[in-house]
Amino acid sequence: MDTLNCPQCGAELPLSFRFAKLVVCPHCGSTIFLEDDAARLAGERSALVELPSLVQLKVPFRYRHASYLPVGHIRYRHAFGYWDEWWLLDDGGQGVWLSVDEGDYAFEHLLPLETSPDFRRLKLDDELKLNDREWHITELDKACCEGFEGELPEVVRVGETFLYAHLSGRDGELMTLEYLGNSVRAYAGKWVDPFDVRREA
Amino acid sequence: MTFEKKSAAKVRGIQCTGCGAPLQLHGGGHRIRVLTCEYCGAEMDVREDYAVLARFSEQVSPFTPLKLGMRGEIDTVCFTVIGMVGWTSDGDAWVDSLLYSETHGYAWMSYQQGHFVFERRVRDLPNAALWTLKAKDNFRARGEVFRFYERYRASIVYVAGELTWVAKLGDVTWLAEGIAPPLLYGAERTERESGYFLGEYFQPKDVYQAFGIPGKPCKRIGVHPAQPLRAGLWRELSRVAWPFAGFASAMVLVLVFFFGGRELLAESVRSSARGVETLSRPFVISDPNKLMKLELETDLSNSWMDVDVALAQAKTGKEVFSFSREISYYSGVDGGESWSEGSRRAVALFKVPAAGDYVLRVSVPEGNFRSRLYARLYEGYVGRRYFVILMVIALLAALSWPLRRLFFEARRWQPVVGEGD
Repeated sequence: MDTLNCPQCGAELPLSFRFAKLVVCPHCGSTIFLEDDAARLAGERSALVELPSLVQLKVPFRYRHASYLPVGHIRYRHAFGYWDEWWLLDDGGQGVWLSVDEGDYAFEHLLPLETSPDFRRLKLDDELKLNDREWHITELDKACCEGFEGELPEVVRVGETFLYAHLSGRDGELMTLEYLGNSVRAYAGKWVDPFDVRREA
Repeated sequence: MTFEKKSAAKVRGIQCTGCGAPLQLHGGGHRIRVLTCEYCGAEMDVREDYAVLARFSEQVSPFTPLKLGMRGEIDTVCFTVIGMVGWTSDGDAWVDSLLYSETHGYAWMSYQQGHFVFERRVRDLPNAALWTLKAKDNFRARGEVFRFYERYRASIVYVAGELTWVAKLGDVTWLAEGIAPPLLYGAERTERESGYFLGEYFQPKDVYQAFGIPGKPCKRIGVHPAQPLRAGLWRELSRVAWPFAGFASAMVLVLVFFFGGRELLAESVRSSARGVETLSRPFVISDPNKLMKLELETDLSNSWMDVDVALAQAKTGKEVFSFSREISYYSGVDGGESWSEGSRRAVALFKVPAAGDYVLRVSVPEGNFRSRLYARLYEGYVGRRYFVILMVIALLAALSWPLRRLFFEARRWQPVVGEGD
């Protein structure tokens, strides 16, 4: 991949992810869209308040037998708090989302849904059947993108709001439904034990 | 209700709407649903402007060394005690303290009769349905082999501080637990949800140190299912003692079978009358440098005798060795229990100055001279007493750790395993 420079300050953008769609300039904090290998200023500045976190940008960590490098970070806020989504690159350069919500860590991947449940019909603590599996609804709320940093595989906008539902499966699975406009995206989660996350020196 | 924000600190002040007591929010995260006043038992909904949901005014605070607001480090993770739940089940009672870490979320420190177990929710499934297992059945979870311990029903008797769900006194939970000390793995089921948890037994002094609890830990009562047996010096002592025990045992066997001595004499030397000397047949001692062993056997019963024994040269009659012994043996039954004291045997070890023909002269000057009196004389006897003492001491030391472990495991399983198991 050729090097790209920030259109705002001219600094070189340290891209580590080949398919990055969005990057925050580490020098001036400008948000930059990456389209057709060209950098375009998004006209927004993104800043995240640093909060206690086991995962930190550009600080690799090991989880069980694999190593991960956090290259991107989004924070979503809701009525009672916030959660973080980290975009990680594994040993093989493959990307995966890590969702962190008050000690609940989960690797997440996009899951095609057979049917999309209507958010208005969801109720907290109800059971829901999705893709032939039973799920328990543990959280329903509206989230707002508070900010992001690093490189991300998709375009997000600060202040963008969406409805979401957190689901818990009978056998420990996790799922998040995100309602953005008319589309519903489902992320299936695989639980990560935070006590097995070890930062690499 | 009044809020009083203290600058940028995590801890916020709040007054109970029920009794006006000053309470504290310890920053337990956004999943906190209720705050219960320690003083009046008013349970308030933190998401609905602290509206009182219930009042547990009759609840009694159970004892736990942990207090709300205490902070401690566990496995390099900083936790704060934010809530308490007291449980009871079949006469047992314990207190779970809800812990919160900004990086690792929620966990529990369970306290029961001096024992601490750190527990947290996990989503690794076991390879068997815990609800159907019997005591000591094996199952695997998180790469460990656990042995099923017990399943039971517990109900809430006390709530205080911040909790992530609306808890009520009398709420019931079913639990099924297996152990791989110091680990504990369990399934939990309520009417609303089910899940799995992983526990680890913590030494009380470590918890006291981690949370800065003043004073000495309370004495532990009984053995906790997940309590590991601390080896300390016992296992090391046992490991070191085994070679000595083996060596001493081998030496004793060798001495018994190969160095018991050559028998020179075996005959009755009973006296015909009190004080009358009995002479044995002559025998030959060929090696004066070797140890001689003389054994005297009697059939005394509730009586005694004094025995004078002399070893003399057969030709000249010159004594080269003599000794006197009192031999007594008494036995009976007292209060339904039998007893005995003394011995029917006497033993003497000696050396002679020169090889040659010898005789034994035996007399009974006092006591029961009618008793059977049988003499056995061995040449080339090797003493084994010190090896026997070493063997006994070494065996006791070697077995100390296995026996200690055996008794400890028996105490661990005693509550759930019947006598027939």
